[in-house]
Amino acid sequence: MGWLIDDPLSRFIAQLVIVVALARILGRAARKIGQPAVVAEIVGGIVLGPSILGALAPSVSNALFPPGSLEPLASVSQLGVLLFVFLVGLEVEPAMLRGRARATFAIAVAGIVAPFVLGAAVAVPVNELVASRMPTAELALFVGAAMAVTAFPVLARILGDHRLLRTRLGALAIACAALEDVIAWCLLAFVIAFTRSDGLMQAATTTVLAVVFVATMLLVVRPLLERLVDRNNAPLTLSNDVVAIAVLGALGSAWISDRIGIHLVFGAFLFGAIVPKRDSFAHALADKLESIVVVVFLPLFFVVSGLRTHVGLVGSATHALACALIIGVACLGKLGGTLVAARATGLRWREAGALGVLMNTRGLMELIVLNVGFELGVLDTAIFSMMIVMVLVTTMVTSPVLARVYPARDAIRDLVADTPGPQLPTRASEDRILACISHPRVGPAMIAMAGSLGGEHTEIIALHLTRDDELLDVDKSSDADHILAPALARADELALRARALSFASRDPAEDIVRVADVRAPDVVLLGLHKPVLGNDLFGGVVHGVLRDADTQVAVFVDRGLSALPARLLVPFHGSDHDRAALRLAARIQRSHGASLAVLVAPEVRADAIAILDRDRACCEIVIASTTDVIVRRARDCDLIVVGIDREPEHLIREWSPSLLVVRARSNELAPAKVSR
Amino acid sequence: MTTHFGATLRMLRIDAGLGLGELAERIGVSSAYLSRVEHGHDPVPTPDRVIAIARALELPPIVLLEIAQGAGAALASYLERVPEASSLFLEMATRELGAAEIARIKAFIDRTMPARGASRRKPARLSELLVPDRVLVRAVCSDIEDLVSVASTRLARDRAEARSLVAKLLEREETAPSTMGAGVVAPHAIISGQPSRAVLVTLARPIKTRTPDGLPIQTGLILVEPEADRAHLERLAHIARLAARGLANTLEHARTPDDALRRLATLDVS
Repeated sequence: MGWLIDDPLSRFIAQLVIVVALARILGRAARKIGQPAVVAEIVGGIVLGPSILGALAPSVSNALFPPGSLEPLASVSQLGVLLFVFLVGLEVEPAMLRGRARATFAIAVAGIVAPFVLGAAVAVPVNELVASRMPTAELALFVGAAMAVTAFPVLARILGDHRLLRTRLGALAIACAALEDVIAWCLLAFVIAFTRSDGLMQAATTTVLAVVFVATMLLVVRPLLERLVDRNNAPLTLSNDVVAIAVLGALGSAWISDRIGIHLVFGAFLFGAIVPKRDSFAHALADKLESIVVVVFLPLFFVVSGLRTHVGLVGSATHALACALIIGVACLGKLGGTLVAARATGLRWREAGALGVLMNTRGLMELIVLNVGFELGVLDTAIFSMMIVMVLVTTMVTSPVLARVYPARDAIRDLVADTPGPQLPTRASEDRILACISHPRVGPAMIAMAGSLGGEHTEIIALHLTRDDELLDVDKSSDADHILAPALARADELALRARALSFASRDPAEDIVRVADVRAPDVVLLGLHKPVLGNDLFGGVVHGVLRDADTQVAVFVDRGLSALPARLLVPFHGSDHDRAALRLAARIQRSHGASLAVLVAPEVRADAIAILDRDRACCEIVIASTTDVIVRRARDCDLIVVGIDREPEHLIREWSPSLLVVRARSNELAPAKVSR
Repeated sequence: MTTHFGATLRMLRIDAGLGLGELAERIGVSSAYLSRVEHGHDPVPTPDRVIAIARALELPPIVLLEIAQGAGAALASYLERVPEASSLFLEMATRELGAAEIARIKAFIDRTMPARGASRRKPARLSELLVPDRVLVRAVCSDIEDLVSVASTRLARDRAEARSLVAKLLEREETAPSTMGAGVVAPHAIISGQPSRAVLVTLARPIKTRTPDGLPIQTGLILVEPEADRAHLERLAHIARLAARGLANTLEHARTPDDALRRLATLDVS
């Protein structure tokens, strides 16, 4: 063997070659059996370590990985870990947490606290069983922190494999994992500070410095990065300068966090997390770095972990028991904690179970934590090995168990589209008016009326419904166009914002009401053009809309109102519909500076004044309410605006000016139904 | 005319629940490249890549090829790959075989060479979902919200359903616009427990809005399905394919719903 590897450099190259090749081969095998590649890579590391290679072929193992040669390997692998953790940070998107904040937070906290506490608790008996000489407090903290970590990248990979990424469950899992990652890193930072420091004072200083560090990163460095991305965003090609800045940032941040007293990875992760995620900049950056990191550096890291693992040590009865205990507690803490919290926030048993199983996945993150513990001298080889076994078991178990607990059809049923959707915008303000136009010649008048009813920023939807069985005349460019053209022209003249909407309808009343449901206008304006016959004043479409619409409805009976109305009359008795009528009349008055006369019954005078409010000065309020007064004054006005419960027929049958009959919004009405 | 491959791909990918990095990895390209393709910064991928994408999305490759290259080109590339097929077509042309004879040939093929594996499923056709009741011709709308609102009058059974339907359609539209290019837009939503339904709307005046290829929208196919399964994805891909075959232009001058359906049928072949 000697002639192949006789100096440190060629040994290092040989190590690299074997590690990378083995990792690739085992990775493919793992995918074939439905496991994530990280499982294979961990196993590969163990295989190359003292557990297998060392036991079976000690001479080879000694030649390849002699004890002294681990330095360069470990350093390079550390670099890889730093870059990898930076990439993980790049994946974390705060936007993922939006909208699910409460549930996510509750579940994430439970998913950290439960395993941490249980892990710390179990560290004590394990310590006894294994008879290690590790300081108990630090060990407990470390084991707790190690158990609390979830593997964010492996989880993402597993979710993708099971096609869960777009489901509610998948989104929740990712959000929880991201949040748990952040919390766990903070927890770990504190634990490390505590371990490395001499006493509580030091730990406190470190915590304060850490907080300052995080604050600086978030408040100072992030805006700087955003400006950098903004300048770079047009082509998606990253210049090498930018890549250099990113890597330097990650490494620099890592160095600072190390000097502060928390671990290197924390700084690298944080830097990744604050890189702006817009415009696939983060994606492009990740792309540039990912291949080399994942293919070359990470396997080295696994090997370093593997070289520290003595699976044989887990052989003895006590050790096996301790290992089983660790695995049990790890699952109980993570799975159990998550399950309970998820149920508490209202998830079904199946979903909560699936979420628990997903959160139980540990992987690379766990390994990083364990290696940190090993390097700090808190975990000895025995406990380290047992924890590695735990990681393997919990990660390998995730995919198969998930497939049983939450099969594909459940996932499909829970697709994001199924969650109670958003509400339609219900801002029924003065912003929108739906004007229903049935013939070309009434269009301009309807538009003018709609304009009067609105304010400066009002948008008018000119709706025309064609009869379903009409054969459209192909000579005209479009039938609807033809009918709405005069209306739209008038809108232009009056500088009103109007747009056309037209389609074939089988049930015009129903369709008008549905369009109103969806577009939430403030007023639905209808026109009454048929001659009035018999008792049924409002027949057909108008009747249907008055009966069913939720918005305000105004029926415009045009009796030759040629210009904009200059004199308005409102008979007011105080009913809901009268109020609506008065409000609309006030709007018309405001639009044109028309004169408005309100005929009130004495007892409702105050109401009328309240509604008119600041327009009061322009209005004439007359105490009178009998019908003949109304009829008399009607002869002198252009437009009467009246509530629908005032039985306007007699106003229409007699000679009368144009009429605007108003029905209030349905949610403003008293429970008693409108008689019409 | 072609649909905008990138925009269509993005819509299909998101509906299939695949992340960008995920799909990129499966077909062996970088996610940055795939992102550029989806946003139209890079040209349409090579046929091999398109086929790989189709496999990853579990769609019939020919559908995606048609979307990518246009109807004629997809067929042409098949003929290039399989020269015997060319000579078959020439035979048919020489003998001037008409529709009846070709139907017999097709029956023979169906009988003796049943479709393998994936293509054994019935191809997704739209004519099953569209009845004249669910077709609106020569409507006038100013934006996609109007279009969706209009479609909902024929799609929903009652007002409450119409409201929630429109909300879901618009919400999904937010996450990944369903403008496919070639003047077609296909808003869709998943509502469990209901059979698949669709409404076809043709516009008298095109809607000028942001589309991946700059062409205004002339046709809308609004789709509601119970599950986002493979059949759903195939239907969406099929709509994109119809768009590539010139659906918008074909339907432009339809005067009645029946007329529109007849014209659609000429394109809606497997």
